[in-house]
Amino acid sequence: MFHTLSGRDEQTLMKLVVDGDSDKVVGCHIVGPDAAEMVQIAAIPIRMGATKANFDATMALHPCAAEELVTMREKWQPPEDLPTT
Amino acid sequence: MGEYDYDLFVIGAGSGGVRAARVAASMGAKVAIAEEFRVGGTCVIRGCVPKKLLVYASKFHGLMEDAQGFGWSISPSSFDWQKLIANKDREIDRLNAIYLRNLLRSGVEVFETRAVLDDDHTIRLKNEDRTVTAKNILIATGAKPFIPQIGGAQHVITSNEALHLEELPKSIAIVGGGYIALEFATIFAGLGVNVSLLYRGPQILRGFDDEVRDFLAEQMIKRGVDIRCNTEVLSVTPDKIGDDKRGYVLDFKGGDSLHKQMVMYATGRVPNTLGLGLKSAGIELGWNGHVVVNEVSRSSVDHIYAVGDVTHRINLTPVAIAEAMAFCETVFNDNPTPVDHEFIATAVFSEPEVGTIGLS
Repeated sequence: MFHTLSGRDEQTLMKLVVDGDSDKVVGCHIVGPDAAEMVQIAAIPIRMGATKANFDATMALHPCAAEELVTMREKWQPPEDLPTT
Repeated sequence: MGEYDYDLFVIGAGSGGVRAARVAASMGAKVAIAEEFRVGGTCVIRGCVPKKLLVYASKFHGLMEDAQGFGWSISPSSFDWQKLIANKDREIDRLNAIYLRNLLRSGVEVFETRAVLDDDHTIRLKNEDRTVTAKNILIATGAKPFIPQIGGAQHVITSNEALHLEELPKSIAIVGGGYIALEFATIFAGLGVNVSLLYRGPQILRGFDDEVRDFLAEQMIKRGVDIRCNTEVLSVTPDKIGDDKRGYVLDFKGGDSLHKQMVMYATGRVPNTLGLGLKSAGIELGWNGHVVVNEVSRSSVDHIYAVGDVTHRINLTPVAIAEAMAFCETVFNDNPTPVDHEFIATAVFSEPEVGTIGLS
């Protein structure tokens, strides 16, 4: 949001890794301003075994970057040409 | 459907209304939405988003001062308010267009007009002066600033006008002690305006944790905001004696007074329900005019619902969105879904910033 006026071409990466079977959030990766602050807090629910459904049931704090952690809806799909291992 | 023009008619295209309209349409309902001002609502057009852009702008002054301790020497700086407002407006226009496009792309019919109820299934589109009918109606008209009845109330601005001032004043009195008052005090002070914040209660941020309230007041005073609690403004009078003819004198209960170039009131918000025809539709209104709803956002009329600030529950964008999602699930998936209003994190974008959740 800051860069909508600064004009700097920079985005933030935010990624949750979810175990498909248990729905548990097993990873959280952020690159951008205040990433350390956000991930330190995300570490608590992840340590406690929170599920993606728990994240989704949490109300967003608007407007902030971290609200993306509770409003992610679409699952990342690997590009089709990605080699499968 | 048959007997009605629409399955759902939404009045008010803010955070709650837009989400409900889009989701209902995606669930197969025939949906229309009416907006009298600009699609996007308070949050996007004159609330959270423009406010936070101005808060960002206000931080640079302090950062430039701080930078010297880190070895930087900063040459004299200047600030262009008109440029900031123009850039802010361009961003708001962009978001407004995205909201409108998303509605149309979802197959929602958009009426850019005020809409009122003629009866519990009939909506009058004011600009076109015709009526349409709907099986279900969602009231999502939000809220607006409240100014108490003081002498000279016509001279004061609210947050609506503060986002569009032609010039930045040299000094401003902000009346109120809630988050809007504090955020605008932060913005104006950060941009170099001499700010006095006047609040009639004993401490700012009523309802917040007491240590948070004391600490924030202390820090903001340290940063140069003149915070005066237990100060009740009785009247605002144009000042015709001093050199600055555009200023105002605020008279306080107890006899003191204060001179400022501009006066802003941030003394609460009231639901937008006046003149909407809600009573003629049989809808029960609460003590401050809000639509009374049950846990699934249903009003006293079975097929009329309300979400967001107009219901005066918890007045936050993500809550309105959650209520809108739950409304769609309740009505269009036949699955009554209440919204859990417990443990909601909120922030005050003051300087320093406040983040808070849960008990104090």
